[in-house]
Amino acid sequence: MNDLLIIGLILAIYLAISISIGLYGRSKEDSAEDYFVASRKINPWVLFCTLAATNFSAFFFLGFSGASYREGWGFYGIMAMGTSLVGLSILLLGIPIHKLGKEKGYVTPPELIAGETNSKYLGWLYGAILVVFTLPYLAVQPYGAGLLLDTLSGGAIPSFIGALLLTCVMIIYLVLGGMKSSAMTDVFQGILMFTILIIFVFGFFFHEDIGGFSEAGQSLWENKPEKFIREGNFTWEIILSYTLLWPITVPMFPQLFSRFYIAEDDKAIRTAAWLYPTVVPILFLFPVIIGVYGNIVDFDHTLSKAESDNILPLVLTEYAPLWAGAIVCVGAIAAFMSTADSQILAMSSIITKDGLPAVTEVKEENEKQIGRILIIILAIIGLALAYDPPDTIFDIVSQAFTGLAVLFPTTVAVLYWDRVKANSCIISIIAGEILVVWSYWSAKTGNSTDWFTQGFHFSTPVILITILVLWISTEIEERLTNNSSS
Amino acid sequence: MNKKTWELLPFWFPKSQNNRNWTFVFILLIILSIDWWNWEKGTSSDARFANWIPIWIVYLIMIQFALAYSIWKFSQEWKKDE
Repeated sequence: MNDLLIIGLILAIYLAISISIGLYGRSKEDSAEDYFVASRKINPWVLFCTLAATNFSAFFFLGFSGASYREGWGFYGIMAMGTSLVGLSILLLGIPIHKLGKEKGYVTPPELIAGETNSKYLGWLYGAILVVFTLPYLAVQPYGAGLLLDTLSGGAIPSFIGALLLTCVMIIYLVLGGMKSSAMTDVFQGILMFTILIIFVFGFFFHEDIGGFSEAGQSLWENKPEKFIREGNFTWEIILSYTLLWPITVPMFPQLFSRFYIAEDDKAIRTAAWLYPTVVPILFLFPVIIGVYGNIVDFDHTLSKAESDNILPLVLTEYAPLWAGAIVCVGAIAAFMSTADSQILAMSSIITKDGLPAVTEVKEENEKQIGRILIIILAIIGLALAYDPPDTIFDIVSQAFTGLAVLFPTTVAVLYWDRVKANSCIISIIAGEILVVWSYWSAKTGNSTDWFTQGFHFSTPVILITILVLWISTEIEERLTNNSSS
Repeated sequence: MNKKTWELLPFWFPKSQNNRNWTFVFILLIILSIDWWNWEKGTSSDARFANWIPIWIVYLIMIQFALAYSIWKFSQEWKKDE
């Protein structure tokens, strides 16, 4: 059978199942609350699957394996412990967010922040930051999926055409079903991507040219022993920085934050909180293994930094029959779609509920329709950004993550600190984002920021300064208020 | 710390003894995961398990399972306002 036909057939089956599940998940209710937060009726297991599938993206499949190819096993240290700690964030932030959402009808993250501080300006700022820093992360998804199809088909399906096709399918089930469809397709896509990834890793090691785990390990040790060690690739300061960054930044993703609203009760969040770190240690091993052991595969030339993001499909085309390669690609595409649909839906709800009302009147009965139109617009923007991304997947995502992490101190303060003032939150967010832009600019222009970071990732001092600014400005604002009232 | 001092803290801080114990457990697990005392020692072939995975990765996986177990226990008893 023609190669392209095999790839097309397997892809068509996967896409047809995704759309069918999306259609099945459609609700007959017609409210914006049902469309954006699935009427807050998602059970613990579906909640866990949708949290995991939403967070494990094209970055998980391609970014992890690409970075592990370049930097070895040390990359597992960068990602794994910090992601396990996300379980703690799910518990400590998820329960109060869920409770407030249910009590006061919040649907988006900025609604909660604005509502609890009585400041629409803080809500607008918070929403704008969420959208601005989620867009680059969104662009990574179609970029990654297009890259996969391009490599697997030997260029017969150009990267952008592949990204366009997948984005269209995603739009269909999102527009029809909203959050409920997104969550249900996440369950299917999550189970699919992990099952396929695990089978592929075992298939690779037991390939006759590889000869098993031990032989592959010996071969790598003899040729590239530096891939086994952390030293030289990372420092403990960098590993600690990322260990602290992930539990801070992941719950700030709007697509994750919004999922705290959809749980049917507290118990669902408590269950998701411990299931999450239970699966991470094992699941994160697989893309890292593919990347690390991609180093024993002989390619025609040494892979460049950007090409190494492609290590997973490159290994596939080298060691798997085409049909098996196509199935693995479907797993990676599932990872892309489960994240991108959630990002688009979350941003659409933020713009519908928080952004547009700031400039014009939005009638409640029109919110669902507006949300649908925004889904199409945001998907097109994601595609446009994916057309020619400037950095590797890991670099793009790392910048977006720090921008979102700046919102963490404000979020915790709003949930836990009675004394917090809206103006102080605004000052701390602006201060943090100025530092993020400055760090990015310095990196681009080649100016050293070592005096600022002291060996840590730049997110660490940025978050510490954001916390300090929030604290100090709250103290000042409180004293000024007391003085003026007395 | 008295009540006034607690209020000065900008973020949630465990007020009950039980939650303070859990805070200690989670901080300890983070410190253990960084594995400072073994940096610069991972260069010998003995540091590999079954030839293909570094021992420090196996150690890190164990720490993560300990963390998952701790979060499971903690999630059963934690209440926001304690």
